[in-house]
Amino acid sequence: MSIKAEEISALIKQQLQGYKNELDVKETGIVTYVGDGIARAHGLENALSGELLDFGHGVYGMVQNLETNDVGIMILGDDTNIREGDSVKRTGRIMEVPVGDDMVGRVVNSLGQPVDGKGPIKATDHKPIEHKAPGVMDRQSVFEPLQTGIKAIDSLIPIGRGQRELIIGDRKTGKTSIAIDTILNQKGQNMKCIYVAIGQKQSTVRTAVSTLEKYGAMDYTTVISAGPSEPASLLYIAPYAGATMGEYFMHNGEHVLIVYDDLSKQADAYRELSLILRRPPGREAYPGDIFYTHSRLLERAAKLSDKLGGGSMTALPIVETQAGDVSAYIPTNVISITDGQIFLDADSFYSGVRPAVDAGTSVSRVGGDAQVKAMKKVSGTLRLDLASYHELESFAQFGSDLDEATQSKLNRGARTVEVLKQPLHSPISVEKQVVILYCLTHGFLDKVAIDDILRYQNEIFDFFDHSHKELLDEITKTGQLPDTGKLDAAIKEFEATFQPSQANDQQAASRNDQSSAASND
Amino acid sequence: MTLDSMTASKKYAKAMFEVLSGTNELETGYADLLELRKVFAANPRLIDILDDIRVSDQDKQSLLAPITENASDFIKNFLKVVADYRRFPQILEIIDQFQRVYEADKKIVRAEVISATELDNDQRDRLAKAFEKRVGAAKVIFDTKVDASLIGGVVIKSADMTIDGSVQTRINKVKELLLN
Repeated sequence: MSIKAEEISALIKQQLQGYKNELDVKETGIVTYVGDGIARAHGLENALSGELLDFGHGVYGMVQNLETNDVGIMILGDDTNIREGDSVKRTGRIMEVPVGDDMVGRVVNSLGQPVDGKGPIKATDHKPIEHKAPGVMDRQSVFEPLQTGIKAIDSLIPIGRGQRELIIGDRKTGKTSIAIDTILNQKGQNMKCIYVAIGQKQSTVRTAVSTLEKYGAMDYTTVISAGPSEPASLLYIAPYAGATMGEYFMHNGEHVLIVYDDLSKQADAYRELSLILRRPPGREAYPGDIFYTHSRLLERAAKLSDKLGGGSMTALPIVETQAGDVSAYIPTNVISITDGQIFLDADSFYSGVRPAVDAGTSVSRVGGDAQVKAMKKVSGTLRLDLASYHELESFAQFGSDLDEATQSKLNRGARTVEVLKQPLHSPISVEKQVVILYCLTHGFLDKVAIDDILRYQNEIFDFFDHSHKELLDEITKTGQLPDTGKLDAAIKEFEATFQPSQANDQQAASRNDQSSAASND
Repeated sequence: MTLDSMTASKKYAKAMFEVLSGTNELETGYADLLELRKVFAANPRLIDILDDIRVSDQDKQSLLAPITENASDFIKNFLKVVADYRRFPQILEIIDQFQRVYEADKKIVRAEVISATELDNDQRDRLAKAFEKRVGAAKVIFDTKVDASLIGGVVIKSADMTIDGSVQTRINKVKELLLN
């Protein structure tokens, strides 16, 4: 290897082309206070709110408060090298993050810098993190479905592309798992996914990234991580940075799914900043504009009009409740902002009903229009079935003599709960969901023992894959339920081959189930 | 506290400026205040005592007597107001703020000039002229410093503006370009 002086000098010349010999005129201020991720500076008379300031040594800050004598600045990074009396420069820019296709498959921090050790990101473009949401005329109503691959959600609480659906529940109820599984199911759906981890343990983020890698989901996913060891300012801006990266794809006519995990931690980070900046505390010590913090973020999720390319950004914000209390400040705020919520119930989670979706309190306000017709048909009665089951369930514990109708309701309810259970990281395609729900609502499962349902489901999926692919394809293609005669015939054909686990006759098995269902819950 | 005292000082300074310009005593008042500042700056203990509530008002009066004896009505009133509202700890800041208001009115600009080598008088005058023109000031007061680490060129720091024409900054810029 020889050093070619000419090549090198040509390269250096090219790099130096941008250099202009001019005076460096900057507006500066003097730092009068530093601490807790906040700085105050005198001077900077013309600084704008939200403007980026340069502290030197690669540390930047963002103007938050403009007061009579000084400005309050949140420091985006390490504040240990900033001293009282240092000068701080205006940059005239606002906070920007890199956007583009190069971000896909990477793990970055809130500033868009890579943290996955895969080398620098050569982004084509930078965009400001605060961006106004699309207006009324830029949007159209949500009509395409976003398949989460989770039976309980796709059937009961359908989500449309461009919708904002809140995932809410206590700690350890599987909120993140639902989000991750939804990302996994976007494989081959022409979706870009963005997972924003706010204040999540770095080990948790590592696990999530490993899962995404293992199932090949990192090919279309960007992970933004603002860990608990980072300053509150980075936790606060992380979701905005993620939204900006997502908007780039949305404006290019692509479909985006963005997960904010979770907004309660972001609210806490913002509360911390606001209190140190001496803004007056409000309810639960959150600042007055905490609602706006979340509303302007979630409003950026949209389904764009065809004129703008028809791209969409679906937001799945996550909020953690304390002991199931949804009437706390942040949960009520975010519930009112979003187009519905998926409520996860700790009790059912621990009793083994996973995903622990509470069908009674979960709603989707716009997703119904986006649901596949076939799914709409088979899932129509589910919510009612579940509701009456939960109602009867408590009565049934006392009474032994139940009439036929009640028996069959309990029977159906127990099977519904069983069918809606789903293991981790195993999303099911919509056509298969339709098949198993069809079996359920048309009474084919009533004769199957509860313990056999999971096996029944897996085997019928295999059977359809091998023998009746055309029916599945029809659902995928037309979105309509195939001719019920054909479907019934196929299911009956399968039933003939299905072997129940126990040798007992069907009658006995089903009687056992009823009594166990009645005493179990 | 720093915030409060600064806001207060600005208010005092503005009020004083309005009083003095109203009675056409701006020049003499300004000179008197600068003298007063010297007295207080030289005797920091004086401020402590004047602010101490354990010291009786009479004692305070007698302490101030040498100053007030030959002073103008304006200075007498000023000290009375400051005493009434217990603003003695801020008196230096008030006078500084007044100076700022006064200089802003007279278009006098103060600037710190840092150069790699000592500037001679001709260079200084030319720099002052150029700077006056740039900021639209009537007069520029330079405070010169020498810092060899600049290598060459000059840095001018004024209020909240920094004009950096040093060789060091240029080298840093080239470094950034090459590294990116």
